[in-house]
This record gives sequence, structure tokens and C-alpha cells, in this order.
Amino acid sequence: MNRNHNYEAPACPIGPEDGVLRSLLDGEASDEWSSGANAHIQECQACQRRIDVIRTNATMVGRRMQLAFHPPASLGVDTIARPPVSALTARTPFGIAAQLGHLARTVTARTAWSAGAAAAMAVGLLVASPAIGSFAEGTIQSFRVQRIQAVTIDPATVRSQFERLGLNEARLRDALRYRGPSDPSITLTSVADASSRSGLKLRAPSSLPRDVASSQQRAVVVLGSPVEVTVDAVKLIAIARDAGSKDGALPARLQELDGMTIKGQAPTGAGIIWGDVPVPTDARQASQRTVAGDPDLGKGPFLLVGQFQAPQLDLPAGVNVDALKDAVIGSGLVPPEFVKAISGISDWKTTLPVLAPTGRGEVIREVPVDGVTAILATRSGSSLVTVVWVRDGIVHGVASNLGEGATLQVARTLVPAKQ
Amino acid sequence: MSQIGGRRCLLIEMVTKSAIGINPAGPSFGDVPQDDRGPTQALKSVVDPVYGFGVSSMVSERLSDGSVRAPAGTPMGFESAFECHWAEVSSVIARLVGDVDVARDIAQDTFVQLLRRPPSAETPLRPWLVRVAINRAYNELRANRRRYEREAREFRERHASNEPSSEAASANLIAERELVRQTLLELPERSREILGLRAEGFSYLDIASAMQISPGSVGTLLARAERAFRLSYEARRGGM
Repeated sequence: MNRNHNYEAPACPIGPEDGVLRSLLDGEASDEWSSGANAHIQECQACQRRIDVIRTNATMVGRRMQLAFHPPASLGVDTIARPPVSALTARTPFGIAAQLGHLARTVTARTAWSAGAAAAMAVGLLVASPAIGSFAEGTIQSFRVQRIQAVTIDPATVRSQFERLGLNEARLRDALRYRGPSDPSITLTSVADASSRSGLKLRAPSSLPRDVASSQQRAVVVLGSPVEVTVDAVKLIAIARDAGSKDGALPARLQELDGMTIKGQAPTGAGIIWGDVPVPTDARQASQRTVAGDPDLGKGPFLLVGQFQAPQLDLPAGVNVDALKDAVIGSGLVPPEFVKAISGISDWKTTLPVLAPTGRGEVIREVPVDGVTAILATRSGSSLVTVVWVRDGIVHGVASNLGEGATLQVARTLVPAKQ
Repeated sequence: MSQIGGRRCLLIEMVTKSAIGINPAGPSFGDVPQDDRGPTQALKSVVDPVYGFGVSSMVSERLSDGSVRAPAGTPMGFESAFECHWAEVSSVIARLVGDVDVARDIAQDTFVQLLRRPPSAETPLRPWLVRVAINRAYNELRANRRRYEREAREFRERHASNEPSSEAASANLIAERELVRQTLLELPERSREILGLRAEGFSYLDIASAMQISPGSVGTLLARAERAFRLSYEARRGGM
């Protein structure tokens, strides 16, 4: 073999450039270039020399590059097993964006949210307006809520503070290019159909309270709907700045998320209603009715037993919970009252904080139901009672206007519903 | 990477992207089937966290005005890219770093980058992914240079003392590989990128899109990189 250590070749003022010569060797030159170039090369010694050098380089380097790679056999495996997608999604730092997305939603959460709204929540409203995501520490896998804890806040205070900070729903939504969920529709159907469509086992009390005993049972299902957020870091940073955020690291963190689109799914829920209650056709309607201050969803007695899949959040594996909390809290986007309320949660990993608004005579208590701690909410001046708890990855809710005792009794005696 | 598998992945990518093109109004949630039974539900139950903002499926698409949107709701996009290209991406990395566990981590990083900083919608994913993968592998080699050099040296020393010629040949191979690596890692980043992509058999067009240069520049860059590599390599060799 001609060991030619001469790397240089004489230049040719009219010949094709090195790049063209190189592409000729790979057969990658366009036809138009090739014919002209080849014609010239045939007659030009300088260019022949040039292409020789280029060819020598290419061949030599090509061989060495093959050496750069270990032979597959030496690796000991045929293929590297592909991890589940969740291993990757657990690592994308949308935690902050997610929390901000949630914040955007909670700002829109009806400020006149009352115990009555909590009743509708058991079926659909929680689906459409999730209270707040859990500040949960991420693991390699997606992470499910195991218990809920009431976080009492006065919506009026929160709202005024949000306004004072210059945060408003429109601005947050704009910065997060928030879409959805479109208020999911609530479908009236049979128990069997609701069960199969939601994947949830509908339940009913082993014996119905007297006031609704003779009522027809109607099943509803709310199918989860998509949620989408696209982060506009510039706008978010501006919001944080305008809100007086002092966190120096926040802009850089937000910038990293710029342009990221997060698509999620609000969960599916299903339940059974007894009594003379007009069933809202969608969650927005359900909430509006209660927002309008109508604490009694119907004239007569009613009972609602519902459930939906527990909220679940992916956060980066190894994210320090405190750091995440500090990031959101230090961002200046969360009003201090809110912060104080959230700080009351001891175990961030498995707790879903449920915003329990006060200020209108709501009374929130924790009661045992079915081996877990449930939240019982009532409101003075209203007969509405709601009980909500999480078990085995399902959020359960019972609401009625039959009094605390009866409602709790129902919650404690649930069995699979008859079809 | 099988040709058929590669074509299928390309086809899926093309279909997804043309679906975007067909829908100028952008994503429409009407496209998402409300009835979540069946395979979509199964996929979602495995892959999508319900509730919270789990990254569901899409690689977001950067439009020319700088805004970003996700493609219309089909369970394609990221999951299929992940499925389609994992084998090749993880293989290229493994063959560069020589360690399966390290390669798995780097391959995951590569796909996380696809999630966080995706290329424009027109960019073919395979070359882009391999380019990112190659760069990350190189970075790994550079960052842990001492470790890889030490392992190579130890291998050589172990096998130098036994003399069957095949093992001597292996030892030589290891030494050569080290030399090539050292040369590569000393080159400018773009040069070793293009050499890596070419070594993996990418066409000039794919190299151009992966590296975001014009197709016409590929030949020039390649010729330049090869010249630089050869100069540097032979200089090192001469010094051995």
C-alpha cells in the first residue's frame, strides 16, 4: 500500500472544492456537480492528487472510526432493555410548571366553593378542578396519593393576595398556555356501563337511608379529559418578577422549562346518585350551580356516592421535597396564607392537600372511615355534608343533605353496588 | 438496526407529522377519544400518570413563530420515538463507551433531552437522536477519561503477559482503540460529531439535518475533520 505521508496537494484555482471532491467519493454529490467535477478531474493532475489525499484520509479515518466502537459481542448483551417511559417522565422537571399549572387552576377554583361544591366534587368537580397537586417526592415511577389532608384557607384572602401580587388567572394561563381540561361531560348511564367505562367498582351503602330508600339510583361517569400546559418561560419569569420574587435561581430554572409542553389527563370518576337531584351535564355546570350559592343541589333529599382515581404526579427522581417547596413558595407566586396552610402537612410524599375553604361557616374535621382518615365537611346553615377519603389509590366521596350521622353511616357501610 | 424497523419508525414519524400539517388549527382535544377503553387506556394506564401533569406523549412542535404546540392527540410522538429509536441509540452509546449500564443511563438522558428540548418539527428524529447520543457518549469518555484509559491499560497489561497471539492482538486492538479515542476527543466537537455520524452510516442529508448545517457543507466539514483526525492520529502514533 502506498504509505503516502504527504497530506498536501497542489491547489487548483478552477477545480471543485474539497467538499465536492469528498462528496464524490461517497456518491453524495448531486448529478449536476458530479458530471462537471468528474470531467475536470480527468484532465487535471492537481485535482487528481487532491482527491487522492482526500480519499486516503477518508479511508484511513473510516477504518479507525470503526475501531472507536467496541464490537457488540464484547458488551455481553444483545440489546439493552428499554426502560418504561415513566422512568423518563419521572426525570423531567415539570414539577414547578406542574405546580404553577395547578395554581392557575386553583385561582379559578370557585371562590364560593362550599361544602356543596365538595359534594359535586365527589363525582366530577374534583376531576375538572383538581384542588392542588401533591408536593410529592418523585421516585422512578409515577407516584400516587394515598391520603388527603384538609388545608383550610379562606378563599377571599387568597384571592385578594393573588390580586395584590398582580397574579391573575388570565396572566397565569397565558404564561402556561394552559388548555383544558375542557370541562368533562358527566354522563348519566347504568351502573354497569359506568363501571366498565371508568374502570371503577361503583359502590352503594348496604342499606339506603330511609329518605332515599325508595328513590331510583342513577349512575354517572365522568371520563378524564386532557390537560395541556406549554411553558412560556419569559412570561413566567415576568410574573415572578412582578410579584416580587426574590429567588435568584428561579429565572434560570424556569428558563429550562421554556417551550416544554406537558400533557396530562384529569382522572376518570364515577358514582351513583339517589334522590331528586338534577344531574349537571358537565362539571362546569355543576360548579356554577354551587358557585351561585345554591348549597342545596336539589329540593328533596339526595345521596351521592362517588369515586375517582387518585391523583398522581410525576416529579423528578431525587428531587428534594424541601427544595421544591421552597422553589414554589420562594417564587413569590404563592400567598403567605397559603404557604402557612400547606406547611401544616407533615408527610408530603403521600398526601394530597385538599383545599378546604373556610370563611363561610364551613367546618372541616377528620374522621375515620374504612381504616383511613377521611375529611368531613359541613357548613353552618346548610344541610350538606361531604366525606372524602383515599384508599388504595381511589378517592372516595359521599355527599348528602341527610345529616352528618347518616352520611357517615353511608360512608362506613359501602358495598359493591347492584347493577 | 433493522431496515424494516427503521422504515416503520420513519413512517410513523411521517404520519404523525403530516397529521400535524393537515390540522392547521393545531391540537384539538376533540381528537382525543373520550372513550378510554382498550389499548389507548392500557397504554395510558401504564404510561400516563393520571391527574397531575405527567408528560403524556407528545414531543412538542416548535412553530416558525417560536411558539410551541403539541401535535394532535394520538398516542404517538414521544412514546413511539422512544420505542422506535431506543435500540439504536442505546447501541451506539454502548459501543462507544463499552459499558452497558453507563450506556443505559446516557441513552435515557438522550431521550429526556428529546422531551425537554426537542428539535423543530421538520427535523428527522433518528439522526438527531444519534447525534445527541454520540455527543453524550463522547462527553462521558472525556469526563471519565482516566477511568477508561485505566481500564484499557489494565486490560492490555493483563493480556500482555500471556502470549497467545489472539490475545496479543486483542491487546493491540485495545491500544488502537485508545489511540483513536484520544485523537477523537481532542478534535473540535463538530469534527468528532460528524465523524461519528458518518461512521454510523448516515447520509449527508441526515447528517446535515442532525447537525443543522446545509447539505452542501457536509462534504467540506467531513473532509476537514478527516484531515485533522489523520494528522493528529499519525502524530500520536509517531510518538508511541
